[in-house]
Amino acid sequence: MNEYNILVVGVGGQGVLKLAQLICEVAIIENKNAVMSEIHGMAQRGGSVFSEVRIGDVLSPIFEDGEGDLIISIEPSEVLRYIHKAKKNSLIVINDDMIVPFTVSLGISKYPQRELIYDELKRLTENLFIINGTKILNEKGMPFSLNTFMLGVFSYINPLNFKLESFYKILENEFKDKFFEMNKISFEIGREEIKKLSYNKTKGGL
Amino acid sequence: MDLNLLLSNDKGRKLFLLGNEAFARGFIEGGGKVAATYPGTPSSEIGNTLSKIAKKGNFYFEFSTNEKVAFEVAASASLSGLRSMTFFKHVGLNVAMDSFMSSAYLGTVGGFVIITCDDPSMFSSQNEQDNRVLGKFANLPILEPRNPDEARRMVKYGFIISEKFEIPVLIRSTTRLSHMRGIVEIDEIENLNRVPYFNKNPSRFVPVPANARILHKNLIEKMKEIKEESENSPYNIIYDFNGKYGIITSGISSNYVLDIIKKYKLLFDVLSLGFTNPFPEVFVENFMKKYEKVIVVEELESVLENEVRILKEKRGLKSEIYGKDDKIFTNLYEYNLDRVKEYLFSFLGKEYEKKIFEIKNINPPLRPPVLCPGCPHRATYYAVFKVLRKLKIKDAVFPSDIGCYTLGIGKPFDMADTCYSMGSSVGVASGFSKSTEQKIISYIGDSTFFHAGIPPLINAFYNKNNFLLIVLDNMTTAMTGHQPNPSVGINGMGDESPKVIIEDLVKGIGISFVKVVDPYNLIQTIEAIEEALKEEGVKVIISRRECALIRDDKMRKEGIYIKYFINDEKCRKCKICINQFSCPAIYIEGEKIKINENLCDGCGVCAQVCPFNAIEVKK
Repeated sequence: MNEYNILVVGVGGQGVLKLAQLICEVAIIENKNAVMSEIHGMAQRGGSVFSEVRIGDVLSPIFEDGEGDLIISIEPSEVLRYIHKAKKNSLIVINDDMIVPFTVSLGISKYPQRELIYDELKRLTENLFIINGTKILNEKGMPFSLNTFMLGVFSYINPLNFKLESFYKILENEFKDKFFEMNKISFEIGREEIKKLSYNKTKGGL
Repeated sequence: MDLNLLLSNDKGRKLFLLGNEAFARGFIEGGGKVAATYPGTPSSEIGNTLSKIAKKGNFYFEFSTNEKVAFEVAASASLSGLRSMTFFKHVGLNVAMDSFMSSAYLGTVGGFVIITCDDPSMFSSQNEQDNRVLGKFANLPILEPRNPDEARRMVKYGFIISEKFEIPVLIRSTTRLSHMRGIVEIDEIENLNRVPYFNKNPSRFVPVPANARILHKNLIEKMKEIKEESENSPYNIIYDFNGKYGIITSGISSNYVLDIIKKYKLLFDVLSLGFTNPFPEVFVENFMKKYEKVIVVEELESVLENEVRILKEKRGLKSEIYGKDDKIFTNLYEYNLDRVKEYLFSFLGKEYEKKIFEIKNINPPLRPPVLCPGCPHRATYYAVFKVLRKLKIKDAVFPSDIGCYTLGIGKPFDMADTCYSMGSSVGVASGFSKSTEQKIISYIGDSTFFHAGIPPLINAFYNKNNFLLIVLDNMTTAMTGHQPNPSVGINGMGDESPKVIIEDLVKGIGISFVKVVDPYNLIQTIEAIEEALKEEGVKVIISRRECALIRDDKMRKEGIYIKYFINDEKCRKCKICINQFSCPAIYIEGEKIKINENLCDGCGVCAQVCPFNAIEVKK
């Protein structure tokens, strides 16, 4: 059975659900089946948010533990919460911008050292990519387009060999006027930045 | 997505829709004319979607004050000959229950569909009741869609069944369906051009006992006829894989079953039910006869399993029946691929390797749902905390209610002691005030107050109770995504409406201690609470300030930029801002206390909290 499973995780307000949706929309214009799950409610801002995406001949919007092909964690510690979804050599992309919850200030929980998280992830996979989109976008004065930045990263890694024009088509459909321009630039910055990490395009694909 | 696409007549067009958006599309496609709801996760997006396109789509939509009202609005539209729909979260059906039960007797004229969005695993609810049980209890047809495209089609199918048999139809969704996205291929929109008119028929629509006795009999007769429909429904599907054993399942669980047996090539055939009540006995019997062993896969209650076991007994069937096992398939929480895989492999006596990766000793920080930066509720809770400390009251009881403010349960406030259901804070406060000498301070939001807070407040006043009710009026229904309510001044169609003034309403009851405060003004709020706690009787304080998220949006649009920072020279590190106020924007870095500028909402309450005036506006 063909299935490609993606987990997008982060913190409320980071655009997790939108990113997952954009990936699915691209898959659909590439004539693939796509389903995804969202979790709404309770977490308005600052809560943990995740979305599962499945592309291929599948019905369930959530995938099995240990079957994640790609994990995009828009916050460095959040990947830990869902690590049971990863498998050996999953592609893992991390946006290296910490969001420290108030529970840490209150002293009721700890934020782990990022280096320790990354060391553990390297034990799991050879395909770990760490990039600080938040910082890059803040420097360019576009703090609100992290999801399209990450879409750009995804489009460069491109595990399912989607056409670049499909991504642009979806950006056009989803964003209008100045928002389209802004998100297009953010998408392109994402592509450029991941390129700099010299990602080796040899793996992946349905 | 541009929601106007939901009004498109472009047959065959593929949209990538949320289950809830697909329900909305089904209503539109099926020629629905009246829809009403009270918002509640996981049902809210159906209403949010319909509200945005009602005008263009030429139908009526309202956010009613509660689910019972919503139910009655939609039911009476049906009696006028229109196709109508009402929908809410599972516990909303409890609120609508009285009319729901009667509606089965009264029946329908235009198609009438009720959608219940259940919440297995309780992602955002107080219980995980299985409303298939309530549908059977009321003796209504039940449909269980498996994916967003079926969500769309089943609303239309529901309208047809409802009109053919003059009966309301219950569609049962769950969080996983309501909040999954899938490809939906839209159909043409039905244009019925009906002229609504209510034809009087009291023997049908007024269930006085003499009528009700006949109506109940008629209902049972109708359900016998509808059984023919479920026996032959295109939504009850057999998947023949030349299997050795049979599986009977329904709704969302079908997806887990089919994915697992296809992926691992397990030898099962599957009967997937979409039309589950009346139970299609003959169809199921014919399926069961082929297998020595049949497994029933369903989340929560054993609704299908019980039917299957009764059927076996009634028809003397030989198949052994497997279902809930108290280990993997329990009545608890939602099912998923892993649970179904584990059960089926263990049933077949097969092993599989669990390839789960673990990271031991490193855990992510806790991120409990939390009141947002700038949330006016935090300011109100802080004011109560200050007053109680001043008056040396340590054992006040806080009956809370349902909304964002239930998060007052968390540190450092600990200000939610009980919560039963919508509006319960007021009734519970009444009972406490008659049974304990402790001070009672109960909390209710504006939307919840309109929903179910008014009758218990009348009760409290009339029965001479003694408590303080704080109405946390943030001028919206915040937790479910900012739907309007009567304190907002906008209705479900997007039109302006006269506001209902809460303080006038409370005074109208006869309550004399009624004060309106702005929680962003801490001194004023603290004074009012202190005064209230020194008085006897029912006291009401309305703590009014719009939701911080709405305020943020407005400020962003108007280009207003206010941020606070901590002046290091003045800060004495007392940490009151952290330990007693706990705004998520304030954090400790090394030795310093800082404000995260991206999170700061500029409300300025922390500046009033700081005893050293160390928190200042950033210039």
